[in-house]
Amino acid sequence: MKLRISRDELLTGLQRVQGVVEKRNTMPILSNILLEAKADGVDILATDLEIGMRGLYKATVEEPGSVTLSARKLYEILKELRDCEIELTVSENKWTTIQAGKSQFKIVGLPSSEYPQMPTIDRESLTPLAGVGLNDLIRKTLFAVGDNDARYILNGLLVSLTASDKKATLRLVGTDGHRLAVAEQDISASLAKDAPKEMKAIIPKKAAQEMRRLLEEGGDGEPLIGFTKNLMIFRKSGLLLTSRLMEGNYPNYQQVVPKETNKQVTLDKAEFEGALRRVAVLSRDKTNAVKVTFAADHVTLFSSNPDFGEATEELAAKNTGSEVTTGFNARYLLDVLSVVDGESVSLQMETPLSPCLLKEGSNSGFTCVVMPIKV
Amino acid sequence: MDRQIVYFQIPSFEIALARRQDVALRHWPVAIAPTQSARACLREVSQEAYDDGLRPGMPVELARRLCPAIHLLSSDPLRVHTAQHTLQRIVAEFAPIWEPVHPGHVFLDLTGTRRLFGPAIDTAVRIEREIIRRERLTGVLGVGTNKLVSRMAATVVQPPELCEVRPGLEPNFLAPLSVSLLPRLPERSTKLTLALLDDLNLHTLGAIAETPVPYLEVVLGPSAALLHEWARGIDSSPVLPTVQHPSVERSIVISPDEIDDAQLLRSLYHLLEHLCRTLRGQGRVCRRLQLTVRHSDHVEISKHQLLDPGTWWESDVYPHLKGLFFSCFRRRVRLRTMAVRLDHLESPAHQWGAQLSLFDDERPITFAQHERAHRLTLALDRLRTRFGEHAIQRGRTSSLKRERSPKKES
Repeated sequence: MKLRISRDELLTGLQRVQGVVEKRNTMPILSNILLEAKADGVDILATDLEIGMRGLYKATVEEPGSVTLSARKLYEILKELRDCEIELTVSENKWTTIQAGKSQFKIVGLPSSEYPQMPTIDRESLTPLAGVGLNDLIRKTLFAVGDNDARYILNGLLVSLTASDKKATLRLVGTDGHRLAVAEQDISASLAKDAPKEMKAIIPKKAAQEMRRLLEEGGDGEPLIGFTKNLMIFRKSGLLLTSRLMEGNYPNYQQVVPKETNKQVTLDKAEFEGALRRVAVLSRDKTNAVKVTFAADHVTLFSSNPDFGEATEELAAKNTGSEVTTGFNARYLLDVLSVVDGESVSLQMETPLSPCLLKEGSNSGFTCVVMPIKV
Repeated sequence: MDRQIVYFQIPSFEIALARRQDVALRHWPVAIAPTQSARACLREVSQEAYDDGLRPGMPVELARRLCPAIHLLSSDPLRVHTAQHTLQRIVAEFAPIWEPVHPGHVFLDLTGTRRLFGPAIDTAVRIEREIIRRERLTGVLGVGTNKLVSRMAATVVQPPELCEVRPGLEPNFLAPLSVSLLPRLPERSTKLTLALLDDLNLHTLGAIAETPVPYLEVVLGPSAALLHEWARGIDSSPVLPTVQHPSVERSIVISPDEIDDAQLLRSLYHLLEHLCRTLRGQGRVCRRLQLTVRHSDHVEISKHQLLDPGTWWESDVYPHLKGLFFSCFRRRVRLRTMAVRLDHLESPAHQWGAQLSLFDDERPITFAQHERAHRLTLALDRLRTRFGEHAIQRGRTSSLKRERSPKKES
């Protein structure tokens, strides 16, 4: 195999797959990427057996072939190189020579036959959905997804599609058992006519993170997302991301979302966020506990730490409900506020131990529920 | 102003305490070791036993062969604790700052007390006399300008002697002393450091003081500079007073010794009730629970657990206490004493409850149960305050005999 490629092109490809490459070293080959040189360019492929990413990059291929190389080492080398054209030559024993100007690197490769195959996509059972607005939905729900939670299914993001004759809604749900984020949007305009009426899939957090990263890159071309029985396919600008779906029953999240009433506390989002950040400085490290009192015309935040002291801050609010004093993990509230759009945020809470419903001032498609701390 | 640091130590503290109680042991070789196990090692040896070749850490079997006349005594932590407490009380009368190192070993910072008590050496002598008068224990004293020198001074004399190193004479005093006498070499690397110094023929502190630091650094690395300073008698470490951690503690002596789990757990619950009631009375919650059990063969096991969030309710603490009990009580040997200690006490204002969960189906029932248990406990407290401690008992503690009631509170 022999090819010439610009350093920036190859670096872009490697940057995209860095998140996919397995870092836990369970199988040495998974820390490698697969380079496949074809007539029209070079394919860069990475997988951790759960999710995989493939992308085609422009290159002048003199001799087709394939090799797997350490993703980390190749990335480190390219980062240090100046912008120039790189010549990649793979010998028969898979030693790969990287020639960039006067710099030359020789790194050891592994045969491509040992690299795991990407899952095959059954096009007949594929449910395609337009990915417009998907980035926003992922951004608003991903923070709530569990991190290595013992309840395996909480480490995934629920994607649900509900379609009727008049309306089709794409909904994403994330929860870690203490907080829940639900974001939905109307996709009636972009939904294909033969699309199913209802669909539910749980995608791993890592796949959602990769999708978000690719969506944030921008670029031309509409993103496309599709689901088969056990696979999610995401395509954007010549890139293909596949992920296995998580198997299991997602908790009945609808039953924990309180019904909306007119008894709400409305706060300025920026003021609330700033006050929380300040008061949380003196909260306990582990729980980040902040006591919140929703009074008639103001909200009081209080934190205390026996080792350092205590903090109090009061901010103006419009309360149409009764006075409630409760406790929250400040981080949970800050996470919600970081994804809330608009200038105001509304909170609804019946009793100090009941779930707190948070909503954006303007958008009715985003709902968040945060469980309090027992004060 | 020159610092005035005094190091007071009672060599072989546990043996000294045993000899105070039993004068027949005075001129016999004595050692402290767990007596119930043949594979146990000596923890402390008397001077007579040392002269016969016995050393701390030596197996008991070997010690018996080397010195057939040895008197082996088992450790008595309670006696040591009480004696140490008394010692600290005497010392506190003379020194504004003192730092206990081990039982029977204490640093005193007498800097600035000259006008009040006179020269440091006179104060040190007064302290020693006071300890002899009140406790009938003799020790050695080292007086110097820092902790290292005063401690080294105390190692070169025998009870009841005193050694003072005058300011400026530290290098001269330390020069002939062996490097192995340095008390503050890091424990893990002591052997390695001593071996390296031995290879370099640096056997005394004087030899190290004369060797330039760069040469030492080649062999010892970054610790060379510190060792060089110590060899020259320089040590700026302060005397750190102990931080007092308030706690409540109760113990029970079980007579006769007991092995029945259910019976022992009943006794533990009874102890816990007393302690939690004390906490509620003081308006404090505890964040750490410690259980110590002592078997009939004097083997003592202690375990602790952090409680987060802190609590003053026995219904919250008991599951943890039960867990500790089963992790402590693994040997099928009867128990003689049990002690429960609640510490890391703090105001409930600093307390936060648990983070509630969204999908916990049991949550409403659990909360209701907890609330009910708390209300019941408060009602029991009111009854006991009005009619006496034994006016009402829970079913689980009702079969306990009166003599099993808690013996000690601190």
